[in-house]
Amino acid sequence: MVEIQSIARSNVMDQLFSDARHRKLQKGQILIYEGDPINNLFLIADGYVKVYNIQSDGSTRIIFIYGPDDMFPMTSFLSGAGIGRYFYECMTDVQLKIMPQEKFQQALRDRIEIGEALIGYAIDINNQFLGRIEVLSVSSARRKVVALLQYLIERASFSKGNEHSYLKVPLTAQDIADMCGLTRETVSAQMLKLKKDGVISGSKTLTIDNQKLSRL
Amino acid sequence: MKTTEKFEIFINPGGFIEQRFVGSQNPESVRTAIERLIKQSEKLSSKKGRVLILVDITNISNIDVSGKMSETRGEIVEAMRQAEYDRIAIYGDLAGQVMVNTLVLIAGRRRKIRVFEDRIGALKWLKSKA
Repeated sequence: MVEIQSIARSNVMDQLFSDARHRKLQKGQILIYEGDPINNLFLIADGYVKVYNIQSDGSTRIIFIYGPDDMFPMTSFLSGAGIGRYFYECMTDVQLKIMPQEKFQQALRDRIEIGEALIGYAIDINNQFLGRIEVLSVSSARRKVVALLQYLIERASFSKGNEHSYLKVPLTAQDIADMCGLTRETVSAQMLKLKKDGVISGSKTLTIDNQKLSRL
Repeated sequence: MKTTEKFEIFINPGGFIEQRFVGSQNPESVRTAIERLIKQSEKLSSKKGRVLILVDITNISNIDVSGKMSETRGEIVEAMRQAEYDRIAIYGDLAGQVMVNTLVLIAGRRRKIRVFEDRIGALKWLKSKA
């Protein structure tokens, strides 16, 4: 069922972005700043984009990761405010399809079947955002890191068989700290424990033992 | 509010129609709400100039994105096109905003229907001059 929905979504995205312009961006480039008006919608052809905000102490908090076939910022575009709620920055080199919002509006007009797919997609993404925000409010450092690994398996990994997942995005301890709302030192200590327990292996490109993770 | 209805509709002392949705919606409850809204707007348009409508979707308990509501969403789009009104301001949570705004784009009514996070923003736009 998920497969069918995913294929249907992919077809919808292809239709909507059929004559969009293409652009290549380098790792570290910021696409949208918090508070920016949403003038364009983006479809990722390749690479990963992180979504984050700045905390009152100046630290960054990564809320979400978009990957291939993801479209953003749908919820900001379709919300009443119509402005970016977060920063969107390339985590890797990224290839994008870009569509001005006026053109997107024209493409959507009178096309209820595309609208249906978009509503489903946008609300699914919104629920995933809410899930991430909920995890960030958990007080246990271990619980946060475990929940993050589960999230990364879902959003940015590939598997060979069911035993292991391999993360496609290279992550530093600071990236993981920013995604958990923890200090780098706490993350390093937690990651070391998980390595000793055989849950994860590798350094920048992590390998995760799915069964051991699910038992935690 | 009748037991089968999951909304309230009334004329606000400010001179506009106000509709408030409550709880989980189904095709029947939405259809009834649209019919009542169209009747009220026809009544108001026959009396005086501008027909303004304020819709509160903050208390809809969950947005059903399943196929069960697809036909109903089509009916909402049709109502957005056919009904007599000058402006509709709708406010609610993010999921509600996303759903309504998508339907507004499909209907091609972005100038006449706007979605807001809160009541104040909705009222401000609703009562402002065109």
